[in-house]
Formats: sequence, structure tokens, C-alpha cells
Amino acid sequence: MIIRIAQVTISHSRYDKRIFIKQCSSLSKLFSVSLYVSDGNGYEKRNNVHIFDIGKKYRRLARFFILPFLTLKIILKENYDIYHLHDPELLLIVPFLKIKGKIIIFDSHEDIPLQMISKPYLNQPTLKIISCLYKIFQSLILPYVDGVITATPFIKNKLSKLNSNTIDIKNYPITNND
Amino acid sequence: MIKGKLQIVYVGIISEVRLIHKVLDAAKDLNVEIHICGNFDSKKYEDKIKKHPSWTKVKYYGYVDNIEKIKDIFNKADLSLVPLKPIENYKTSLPVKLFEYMHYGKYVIAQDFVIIKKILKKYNCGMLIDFQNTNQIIDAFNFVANNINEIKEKGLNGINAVNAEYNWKYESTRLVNFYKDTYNSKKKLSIVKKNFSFFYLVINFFLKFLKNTNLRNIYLAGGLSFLFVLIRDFYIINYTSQSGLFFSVIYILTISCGFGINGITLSKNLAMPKNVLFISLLSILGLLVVYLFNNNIFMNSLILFFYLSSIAILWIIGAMISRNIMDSNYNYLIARSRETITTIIFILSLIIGFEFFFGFLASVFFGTFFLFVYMLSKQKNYLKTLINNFFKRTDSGRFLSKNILFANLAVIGINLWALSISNVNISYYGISSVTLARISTYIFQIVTLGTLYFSLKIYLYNNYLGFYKILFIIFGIISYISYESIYHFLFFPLTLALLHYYFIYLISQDISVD
Repeated sequence: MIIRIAQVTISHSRYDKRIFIKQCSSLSKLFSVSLYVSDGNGYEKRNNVHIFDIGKKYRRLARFFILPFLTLKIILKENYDIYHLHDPELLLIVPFLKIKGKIIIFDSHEDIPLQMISKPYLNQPTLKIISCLYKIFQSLILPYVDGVITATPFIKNKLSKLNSNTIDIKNYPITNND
Repeated sequence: MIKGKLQIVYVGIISEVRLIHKVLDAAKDLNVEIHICGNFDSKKYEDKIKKHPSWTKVKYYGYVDNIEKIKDIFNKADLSLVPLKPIENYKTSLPVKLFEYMHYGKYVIAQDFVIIKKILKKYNCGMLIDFQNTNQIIDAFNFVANNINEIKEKGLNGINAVNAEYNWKYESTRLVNFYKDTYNSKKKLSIVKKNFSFFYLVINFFLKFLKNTNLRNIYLAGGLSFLFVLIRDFYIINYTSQSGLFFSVIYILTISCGFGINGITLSKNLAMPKNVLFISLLSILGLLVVYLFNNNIFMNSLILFFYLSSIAILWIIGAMISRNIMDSNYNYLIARSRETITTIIFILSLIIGFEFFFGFLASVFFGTFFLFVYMLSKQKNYLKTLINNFFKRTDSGRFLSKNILFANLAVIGINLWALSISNVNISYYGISSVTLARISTYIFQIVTLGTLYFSLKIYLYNNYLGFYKILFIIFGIISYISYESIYHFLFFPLTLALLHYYFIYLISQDISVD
């Protein structure tokens, strides 16, 4: 049986290097891979990867809190074995995927709490509060995720305290002989 | 070098934190050409950069996704840049562009970070400077321009580095293996996990609730009775009175709800609705008798009784939930017998506490208890199986059952003792009741802390049901802090109920493993 994988992202672009060019293309050699993006460019099949479109909807806050649930509705239409989530806001739908008994993998492209502090907009105290809240949120959700992928060993060390099944997949370039 | 101009390349997002403006500042008086690929991160920064006097030295390509074109740009270049503002976030990151530059065999000038330093030192294909300092950038560019041949050779080391270590091929096999491992390990667990995950439990609970009218009544009665207990507590604290029509009405409502639950539970198990009615009537009758002899001692005992019965009710609800999740998949009888035995012992512990002070109430309790046993024994061999199964447990099961008993007996017994004697002005063996109450209160607090510790231990060793465990610990801490205030009445029973629920969950899981 071929394992069916859904890669889900709402804030990255369609041909994101880490998601599409590296991960999806590598995985599609062995598994059946679908990619869900939110850019409004419609369905497409490329490199043996089915790219589905959630549609370009909402801005700012609504994008953060409403779009994940809209995504949930769409990704549950097909029955996948593994759901690979690429954005921190998609952690909101983890409980619902868990009810359905799905395997969930979360991909932390960056050290999100640290990244939040270094955002240029908003003032520093607000950012610190948001970052702290996210840390709490993360520590509540991540233990229920089945696997965590991080971009660097440093983030891996941090997150492996929350989830023992953590691995660091670094963003090394694709070489010609590959 | 083309026409004596040093060719510099930068690929990536152009933003304030990438310090492009510093690079342009440095390029002002130098004979260089800078190739930049990538998008601007904001309009404001774009304007700032495009007005810069060095912009004429820049060849801007915009976002390039054509590999051939990128190769073309890199072929011209002599060196590449990794400028990053030293923010916490960047200090530990692995910039992708670094490896891409190395892949194309370009000498790298990077911001001085520990991780980048390790990589560049290992393969000797770059140098480190602080991009915030314009003079350092100028020095670096001059150094490169003077040693151009040496630099080009060093740059080629990067290709070896990427081929040996920093390429996607190795990472992709790791990724695929990670997927396979995760899938296989979770598939094995999925049977247990599907039936016992917290979310599944909650959803299942509500589904059953909607479908089954019998269950709906039970939970409604439980909720109502708990509500009444709360109302009663507020009444006592706000009016410091323990008599009056309102008070007695609330009492009767509470007890009928509480016993109603027991009754319906029994009827569900044994299908004897007549006896249920009888028990409920008996309990209401007993209460009326108590009300007729209304004085403070009786009322105090009643407060204790309802306080504890609210705990018991919640505990029974927990038992019901755990039973529902097991459905027909597992050995129903064993599961039920384990629950029932622990229920009986729980009730016994209550009885012993009451018997100590109030023979009358205890006899009412004993009456219902024996009726309970009698009804159980009517089921064919049920009681026998019950007792047999209790001793036939696995080690972990026995360990858990022991802990249930100790937690129940210790916490409830001591709490009961403390609450009772603090209201009665008598002395035991020469020590006044108030002193005794104080001492036992301390003991109670220690026991509460002990249970907290125990729950923490479970939290550390068990991976399932974490939400529930966190809830339990939060409630436990609140109930500990709010001791002797009204909130204690809310959180202490909740804590206990959750604890019982958790133990029962563990036992039921134990069965599924068998």
C-alpha cells in the first residue's frame, strides 16, 4: 500500500524551496504526495506532486485564525495517512486531525518564538507576550503531534523536550548528481 | 573580475536585517559590481536602497527562478555575501544561501556567527567579518581584490564540502526514513490510541450523550446535583445559616439527584428500575427524618455528606465515561467488576468516616450499601467474578488500585475528620478539637501535595491524555491554594474526579493491553 501524504501550508509560496522543491519532490519518489497551498492559482500536477489550492482568502488576523479551519475542511475531504503541517498557525487544527486518527508531522522551519521577537512591526513588550503565549500553546499541542521536523539542530534540541520523535532536516542545496 | 571590477553576488530577500545598505555604503568608493537577486521585503526599504549613491554599481535581477540564469550570474562572480544582523533568531540559523554559494564554488564573506564559523573553518572556503562595520567590509573587499587567484581556489573547496556533507541527498533519505518510521510506529499504536485518545473520548462522550436518553439523564442529574452542592455552599458562606426552607429544598434536590444517579446506574447494569425507585425514596425519607431532628450537629454532618457525595457522583461519572469508551471491544465484565469494586470500597470509606460520629447516618448508608450488594449478587455469579477478578490483576493494575484506595482513604478521611471536629467543641484525650482540626488540616495539606506529586509522576511517565493531566494539575494547584475558601469546593472535587477518571482510564487501558 502506498502511503498517502498531504503537505499543508498556508503562508508559504507554491514552489517554496524547502516544501516543494526539496521535501515534496524527494517524497514523491516513494509516496503519493499532495500539496495544499493558499495562493489562488488553482490545481496543478508537477514533479508527480498534486498541488491543490485552498484559495487566497483573508488577510492578517483572520488568516491566522479562520483560514486553518477552512483548510481543515478541505484537507479532510481526501483520506490521507500522514498530514505534514508547515505553519505554526496550522497547529490549531491538530486536535481535529487527531480525532480522525491521522498521523501528523509538524515542520518548524524556524525557531518561531525567537522569530516573533525579531519581527520589525509591533513594539517589543507586545512581541514578548505573544512569543510567550505561543510557547505555552506549542507546549500544549506538540506532544500530540506524531513527529516534528526542524530546520536546524538548535531548534531540534529545543523541541525534542516536547516531542521525542524529532528530527532535523537541514536546508542543504540540491546537487546535480542527485 | 571583469574590467578590473570585483564581482560580488548576493542572493536572497533584500531587507534591513540583511544589512544590504551597509554593503552599499562600503561599495561607495570601491571598484566593484554587485549582483543582487531576490525581492525587496518592503516598499520603504526598496526606495531607500534605490536612492543610494552606490545603486549604479548594482545589477539587480529581481526574483530569479531559472537555474541557468543563476548559474550565469554565479559564473561571473568572484565572491558571495552572507550579511545578517546579529539578532537572536539568526545567530543559530543555517542560512541556505551559504550552502548554495558553496555549491557554486564561490568564496564566502559571512557574518561572524559560531555555526557559520565552524563550517567555513572546516573547509577553508570563506572569511568572517562584522557587516555592521563598514570599514571591515571595505577591508574584506580590498583583501579579496588583492588575492584574487588564491580566493578563487579557496572558493572551490566549497564544492567538495557540499558534495561530501551539505547536500540534500543525504537529508532526503533521512526524511523518507523518518516518514516510514513514524508511520510504522504509529500504526501499531493506532488501535489503542484511537480508542483512548482524549479527543476521541470527548467526541464519543457527546455522541453517546445525544443518542442515549438514559445516559443523558445520568449526566444531567450529576450536573444538577453538583450545581446544587455549589448553591448550598454559597448559601452557607454568604448567610452563615444552615436552616430555613430554601436550604432544606436545596438539600432534598441534591440528595435525590445524587441517589438518582446511583439508581439509574444500577438500573442500567441490572435492569431493575423498581429497586432504583426504592433507593431514591429511602434516601429522601432518611433526609426528611434528619430534617425533623434539625440541629447543628446533624446539619454539619449533612454538609460533609453532600460535600463527599458530590465527589462520589463525579467519580461515578468518570467511571461511566470510561465504561462507554470500552464498548464491546474488550472484556466488559472484568472492566466493570474492577470499577465496581473500587466504587464499593470508596463508599465503604465514606461509611467508616460517618460511623465514627453519627451512627444514624451510617446505618442509612449501610442499608443502601447492603441493598447494592444484594442486587449485585442476584446477577448470576456476578459477585464471585467481581472478587475473583479483583485479585487476578496484573501487577500494574494492582499497583493502580492500591493507589486509588490510598488516595481516596487518605485525602477524604483526613478532610472529613478535620472538617467535622472543627465544628464541634469537645476534647479528645485532653486535646481540644480545634487543635486536632488544625493538625489534621496540615496533614491534609501534605496529602494533597502528595497526590499532586503523584499526578506529576504520572505526567512524566505517561504520554497519553496530556490535556487531562495538565487540567488535573491545574485544578490540584488551585484547590491547594484556595484551601478554606469557596473555590476549594469547586476545585477539590473536580481534582479528585479527574484523578479517579484517570485511574479508571489507566485500568481500562491495562485491559486492552491484555
